[in-house]
Amino acid sequence: MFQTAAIRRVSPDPPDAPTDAPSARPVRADVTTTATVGGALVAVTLRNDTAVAVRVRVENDLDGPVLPPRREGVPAAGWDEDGFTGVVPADARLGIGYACPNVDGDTAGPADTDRDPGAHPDRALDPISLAVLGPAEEADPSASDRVAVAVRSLGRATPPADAVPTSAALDPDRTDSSAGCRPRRCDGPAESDPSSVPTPVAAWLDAVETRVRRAERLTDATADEAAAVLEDCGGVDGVATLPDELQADRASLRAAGDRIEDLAARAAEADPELVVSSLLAAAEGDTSPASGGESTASGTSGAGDPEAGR
Amino acid sequence: MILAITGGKGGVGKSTLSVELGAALDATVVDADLGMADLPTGPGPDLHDVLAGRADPIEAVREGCGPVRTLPCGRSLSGARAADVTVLDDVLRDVEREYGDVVVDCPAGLRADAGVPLAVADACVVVASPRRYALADAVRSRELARELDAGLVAVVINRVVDDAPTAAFEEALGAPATIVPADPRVERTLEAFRPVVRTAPSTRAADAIRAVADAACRTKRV
Repeated sequence: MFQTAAIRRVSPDPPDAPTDAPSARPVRADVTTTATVGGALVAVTLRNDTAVAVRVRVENDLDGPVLPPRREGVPAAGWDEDGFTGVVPADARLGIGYACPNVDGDTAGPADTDRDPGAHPDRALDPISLAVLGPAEEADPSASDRVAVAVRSLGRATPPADAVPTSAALDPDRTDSSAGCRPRRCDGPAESDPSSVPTPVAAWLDAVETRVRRAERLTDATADEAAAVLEDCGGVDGVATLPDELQADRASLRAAGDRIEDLAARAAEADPELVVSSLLAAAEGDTSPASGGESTASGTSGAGDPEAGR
Repeated sequence: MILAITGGKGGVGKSTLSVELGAALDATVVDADLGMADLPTGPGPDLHDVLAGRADPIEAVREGCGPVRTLPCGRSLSGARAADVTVLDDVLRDVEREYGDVVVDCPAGLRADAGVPLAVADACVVVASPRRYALADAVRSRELARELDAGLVAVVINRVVDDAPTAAFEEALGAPATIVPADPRVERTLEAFRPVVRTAPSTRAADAIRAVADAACRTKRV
């Protein structure tokens, strides 16, 4: 507030400003504060009644950081971490607004505070401080301004998230952490082809997933989050055995994972098709001699005989 | 000086010309094509790591690995996602401070990853192919450069076989057009990482590239 007064002194009123008291101040602000869950929304209408454009500085006085409007992740022009600097055109209004989290509705100040810079009786309630920096002049934008302008106006070109499916199930670094998310990733194919995972296996995985999800919710949980989990589980008895069960699940998942990997590798290596087809052909030759046994007698019969003896 | 090599369309030869100009100016070539990089890379941190705050710009510059100093870019989508293009300003200035002139190979298109290098650069070269449709793309790139305050050093009409519509390009873009004739040696510049201004300095293509480099130097002096 005192800073506002100081800046007011060094910024001369425009020479053609009317001399009557209220409008001698070049810029006035109407501030509307709306308390919401977790913060406050501050809307400021800056009115310039003079015939010249005026550069102003609006700073947040609420107890919390300024969340400015953003485009493409970059704060809108004129915003920084403490407030807004911009130009109010001659004889015009400029509307700006920001959000301020972690503010009590009570301390956010009264709604519709019509105020003048530097001269207000109940300063303690002001959500913003307004400073007039003087007449606006053409400023040469710095390189960093131009970068922000480029990103705001052109849009970021980063690839969208999940544009390409990730193979979390194949990532060896994530065998533990993927225990919870792997079944979820497999939901799609599993639903379209129910035979892909046998029902008992799917039921076991679902049960494990329920326990892992519960354990994840309780990891570093606040009192409120823990209470919510307890409510879902029907009291503290529902989670009493969870650590032991999770320990057992870890061992089972690892064992099952190793066995599945081992079996998958062996299944990929094994190739019984050739021998089986020759056995089938031989069996067919035995039952129907008219089909001719010569074809089975060439080469493959040697391999077929020991197999048949098993 | 930071010189951006731009041009709306992909495949017109921006990366090739960047390496050639890097060699002609003895500059550091930065591959700013975050999504589809094509300058040779290798082990070590790249521009993705630098823009994600995982590496220092200077340690990502490859020096002595080829005829041109480069700051290559990674090829992965996750790297492109993690890269914050707004940091490119500081990165390019750090490299300029350490190594002198910087040539930035801009991506195709008119999104922020193409715009930010122009916003940072002191000057730019617009590359176009000698086709009728290429003029429209060159004009769009020129307009973007003008909005972002990157002065136009020259328009390069690349891979010219017969007569190029030089007058049309110069009139539409308001800058002198330099013709780089089609040359199989230039086509292999990126693949072999051997710029013709070094390996075949007496060719017409090398002459044209040196002319663009001279124009860039003149801009720097002013």
